[in-house]
Amino acid sequence: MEALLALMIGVLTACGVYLALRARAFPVVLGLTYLSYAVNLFLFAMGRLSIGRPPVIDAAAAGYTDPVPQALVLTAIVISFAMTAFVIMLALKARAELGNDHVDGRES
Amino acid sequence: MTPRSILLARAVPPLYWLMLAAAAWILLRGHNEPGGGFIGGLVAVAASAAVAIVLGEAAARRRMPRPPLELAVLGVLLAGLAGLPGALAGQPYLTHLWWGVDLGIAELKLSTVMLFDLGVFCAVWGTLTAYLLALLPEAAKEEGT
Amino acid sequence: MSHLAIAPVLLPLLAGILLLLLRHGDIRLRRALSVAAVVAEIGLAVALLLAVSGGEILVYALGDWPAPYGIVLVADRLSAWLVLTTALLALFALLHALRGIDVAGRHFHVLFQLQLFGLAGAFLTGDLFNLFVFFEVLLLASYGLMLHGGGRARTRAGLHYVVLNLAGSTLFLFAVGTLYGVTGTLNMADLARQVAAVPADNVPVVRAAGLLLFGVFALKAALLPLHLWLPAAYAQASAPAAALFAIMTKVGAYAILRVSTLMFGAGAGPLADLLGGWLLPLALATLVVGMLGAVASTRLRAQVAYLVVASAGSLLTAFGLNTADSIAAGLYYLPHTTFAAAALFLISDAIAGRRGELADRFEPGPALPAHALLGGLFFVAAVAMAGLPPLSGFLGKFLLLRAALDHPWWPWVLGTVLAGSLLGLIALARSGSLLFYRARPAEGAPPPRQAGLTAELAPFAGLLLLGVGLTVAAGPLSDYARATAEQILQPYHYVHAVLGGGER
Repeated sequence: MEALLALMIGVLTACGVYLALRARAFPVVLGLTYLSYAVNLFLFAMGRLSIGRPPVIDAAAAGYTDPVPQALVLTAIVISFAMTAFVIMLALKARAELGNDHVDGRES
Repeated sequence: MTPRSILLARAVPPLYWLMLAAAAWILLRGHNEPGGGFIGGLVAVAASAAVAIVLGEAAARRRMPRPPLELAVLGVLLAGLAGLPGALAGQPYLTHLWWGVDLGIAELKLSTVMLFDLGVFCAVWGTLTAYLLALLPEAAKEEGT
Repeated sequence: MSHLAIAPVLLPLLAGILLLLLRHGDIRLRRALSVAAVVAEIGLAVALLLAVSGGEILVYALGDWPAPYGIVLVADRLSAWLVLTTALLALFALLHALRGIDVAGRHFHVLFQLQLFGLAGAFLTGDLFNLFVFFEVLLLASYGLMLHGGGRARTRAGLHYVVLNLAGSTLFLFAVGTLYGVTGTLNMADLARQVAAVPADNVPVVRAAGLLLFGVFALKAALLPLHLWLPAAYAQASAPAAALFAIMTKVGAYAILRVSTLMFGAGAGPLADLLGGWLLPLALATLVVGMLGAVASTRLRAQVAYLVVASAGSLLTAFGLNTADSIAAGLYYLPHTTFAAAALFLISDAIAGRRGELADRFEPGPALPAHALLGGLFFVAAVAMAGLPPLSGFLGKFLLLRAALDHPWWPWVLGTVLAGSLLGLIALARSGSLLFYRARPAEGAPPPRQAGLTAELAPFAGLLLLGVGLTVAAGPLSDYARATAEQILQPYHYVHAVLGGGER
């Protein structure tokens, strides 16, 4: 499971970096979204992977999973969502004002 | 506007209330089990989104208790104020207070955490719906061109 | 229970929410509320500074969750110093905005207060992930302020700024995640303990995470080669927003200082002095590149933006020397350079508004109205920025140079700082003479915005007076800076205050 998750994070990061380096606003936004997915998975994995264990104290529990990364991921998701929402609005505004969706505002 | 399925158009209004009820249930369940204001808020946004897509933004806006942005602000205010009773009671800000109300059959637990969660619920519902309603006309423009 | 440590964080948040509720209300009411909130913030910052000036460290456990499990706010001398600098700067930036810029777009006052909320939180938090959250708050507010007023150039520069900072935030999260994965904590005081005791296997991982963190802070602090976003962004933002942004690079510098002294300081075992080899050379290079950029600029606003880059270089040079003397010099220099840069942004707005089409470009134009007053004030601000006597910039640089004498690289530091100052002087002298001396007779319509010069320049004069105050009170203030430097170089006190004495 660890190898699969690591591979997943790697692929998402690679796609994210590639897309973020494109010259059009839309792929850049998509790339940043991929990067935030990768970082969310990464944060989640940093609490160690375990299946079927409770995060809060329970008398019957054999072991626990770490609740802190779950809280961190939730916060990170909210923030990255807000940022993505903002950057989409900004990209739309830029396209309306500059006439195209090149990140420098000019057709090359 | 593109023609919508009549089934969808008839199904959405009751579904909206059903989804809101589910959202409220998730909000209250967040007390001691998975759930809470954030997830409940997202379900409420889904309800508003369904109405906005099928019946139009005006219909979605009409069905909100307050205009989306105002709801969001009130939510943040509520969440911020929920930390104050603890501070006034001589403990650090955001220390939450609990009261048990005996109902005879069961004990109802009231707390400032509930206020906080309700604030988060409103903030999520308001913000995301406002964002959605701002983006939908853009999508309609895209379809038109 | 004293709430002093959280009050400077909560006040702007509540003011921002109130202003958002009143967004359709009378503009005079909103302005009054905004100014009152900032004045109260100054009062709180002063109270906080007095409370910690004796060396106490105030720890505030949010929700009464004890550290390291909950989030704590920690106010020490360094935090209080920066919160006060921010609040003072904010007042004058806001007063400038009240002259009409605040109604050029929506929600100016709300964003302004939320930016203060993010800044105060970033300076006061004692939790690494919470630092990330406050960074995002202040960045999101700064995106709004940066775009305030609209226009094509602003939108384009804004898009670059936002995308770059989003990438930076992602890297921040990767670094935080790695540190959490290795040490199992996010509380900075607890991290200081854990990093010092990290097993040998994990040392390279923590080193990587620490350097990644440093890279993110370097992006915010505009350290070479991550400074390229700054000139475009600051030169395009509206004047009060740019003036407030003068503190934004200092957030990065603060984070570098805090993390390098607390978590990777002398007591960190194998990871001690993690940034030692990197910070000083990069800071010196930033200084030179910033000054060269200032010489080469064709617009006043861009020139001031490059001077901000150069001042970040000077500041980080002081922090990079990593002695009590040099850090004290840097901390004394920090408010000075912030106020001077903000003053230059404000006066360049006043100048640009009187040159019609030419705006702030360095081309000979018709003589400015009241050019003696404007030119005189520009001269004073330029003297402050370039670090010439008699103003406090000179004292800051002098303290920095004296502290550098003990360092093995002292010839490089001295040479670079002095050459940088010379370049800055040349740049400002060139722009001053082009704007004020090489006037050609006016033709056609008189330039707009003749009236209200004195009122317009009042916030600017206020910032200059703060600089004078820094000079007059140089004795006690540099003592305070010195005490601050000694306090942060002894991270034991910080760790002890947050976690208590018990070793684990």
